Amino acid sequence: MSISSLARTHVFLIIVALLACAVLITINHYSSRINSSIRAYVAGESYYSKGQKDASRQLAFYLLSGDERHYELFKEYLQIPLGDSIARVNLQNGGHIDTVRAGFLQGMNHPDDVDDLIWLFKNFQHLSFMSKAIDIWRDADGLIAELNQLGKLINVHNQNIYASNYEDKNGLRQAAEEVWLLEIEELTNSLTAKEREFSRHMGETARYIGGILYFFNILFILLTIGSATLLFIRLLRGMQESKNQLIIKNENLRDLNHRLDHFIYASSHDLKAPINNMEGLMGMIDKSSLPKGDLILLEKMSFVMANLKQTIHDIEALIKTDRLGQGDKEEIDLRSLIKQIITENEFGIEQSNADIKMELEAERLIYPKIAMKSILQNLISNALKYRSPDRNCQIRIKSWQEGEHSFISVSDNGIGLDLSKSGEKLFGMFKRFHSHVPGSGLGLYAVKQAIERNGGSISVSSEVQKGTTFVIKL
Amino acid sequence: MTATNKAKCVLLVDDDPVSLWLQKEVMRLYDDEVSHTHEASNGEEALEFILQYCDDQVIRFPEHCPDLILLDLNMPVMDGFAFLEAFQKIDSRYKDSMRVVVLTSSNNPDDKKKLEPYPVEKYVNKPLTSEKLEAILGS
Repeated sequence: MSISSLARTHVFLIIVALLACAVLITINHYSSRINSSIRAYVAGESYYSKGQKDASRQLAFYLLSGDERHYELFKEYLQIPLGDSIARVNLQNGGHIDTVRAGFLQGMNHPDDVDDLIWLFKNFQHLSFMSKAIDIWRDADGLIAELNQLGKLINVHNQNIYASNYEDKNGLRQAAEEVWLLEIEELTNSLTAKEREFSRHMGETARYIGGILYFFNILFILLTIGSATLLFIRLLRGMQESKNQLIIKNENLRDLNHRLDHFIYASSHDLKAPINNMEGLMGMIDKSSLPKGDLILLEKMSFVMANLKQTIHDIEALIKTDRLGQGDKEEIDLRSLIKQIITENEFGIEQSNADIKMELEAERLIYPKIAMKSILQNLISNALKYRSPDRNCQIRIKSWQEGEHSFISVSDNGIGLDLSKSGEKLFGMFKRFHSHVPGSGLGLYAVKQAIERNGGSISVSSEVQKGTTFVIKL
Repeated sequence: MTATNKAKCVLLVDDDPVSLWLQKEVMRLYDDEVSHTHEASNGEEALEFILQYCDDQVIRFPEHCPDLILLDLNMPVMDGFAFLEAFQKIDSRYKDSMRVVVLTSSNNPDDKKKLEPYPVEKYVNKPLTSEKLEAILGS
């Protein structure tokens, strides 16, 4: 899978998750507002209902007692459901919002609920649950209007019968009052039925919405979790892929490294045969019969051959140290190791008339043996190579401990180097500073590599015509 | 060039013709000690040559039976090590009169170690100089 299509899938999943969250939040916000509004309607309905019942009772009292105070109370209580009625009518006919508000407040609704009452009505009046509630409400309002009319009738009736010239003909008053009482009762019952229906319907609606909300919550939560999980799995897989690819690349690199090493080793190995042949052939030349010019040429050719031989030797050594540089740490007896090196280089040491002294405070080291041998070998042979012709070659090898670290130093009294000129380049690859001695310039590079690979460091101090000292920190 | 031994026959085993030529040239300087030299370009040829002289029935030209073998290690077909492996199996009646000296351009210490089980008298680095040859013949 290409990177861009992979990224697109990830982005897609993230968007799905975010959208699902957004939908969840929106759904919950709106549902909670809806339920809050429904609760407001149910509360409002109870005021409506109470107002209406109180009005009905007052009307009955008025009918029986003729006391105008009951009529006043009747009118007062009826304002409550009438307020709601005003609100409804104005909401349905697009009346002014202040009128609606005033109506609801007249209906004893809590001022904080009024906004919700209006919001629910305006936005949902055409949905089935709301329109059914509105119908019930409208029917109830109709009954309220009838009650209102009845009240007016009774009022007029009472005005008459309590006037001075009233005569009750044929017990009409009794009959009329009985009828009206019945009507009051009927209206009240019908209204009660409507009020209950309204309440029940709103209750069902609230439960229904709650159910839907629950369903959608589960759905979108699952969707969010699902896409997040998918995303996570994809990312994990992607990481595993990358890790696997890295491992493969690493192995390939290691492979390549080995093959390169092998190639270089094989090449340098193969070069030795022709070089040895050259040496042999040059050795066959009868120098005594050569003219002076040719003799000089022959000398220079010998020097070049020695150089070549040394370079190949150093390359081989470098590869060996590279490969074995890390090596297994073992306990080394420094004194016997140095003695071994001296023995192996007996010939060169005798030739240079060199005197090698050891001052070993730290006699035992934990270090890869082959690397240490190679390092010391290199430094000693350098000291021999760059000895001064003016004095006997003296080499001092010291070792000591400072805290956690061991130190080794190899000093000579040879021709020295001008460090201000050579300095850092000393340990560089193929860097040589004296041309009269054969060498490839790889020795010190290999030494530094081996030391640093094992977590140490090497430094040098030198004075021209006085000598050189190398200090190794392990 | 002191004559310390009776005249020898030397078998030179090397795949490199220049190297063989050089060895022969050095040999020439000691022709009072070395009467015959033979060449083989690999272990197999060398073995074939030697086996001619490992049979009591057939002894032809005993002066050509090699007393000294200068053996290179890196050769095609059959290298120095394989040769030595086969050489080991030769009856000691014949084998013991032949000295084996390894003459090689490799200074790989692993090679030296690999030679330990075999009856190799000396390990000499190329090129073969007259001093080195004298040391070989002298012992």
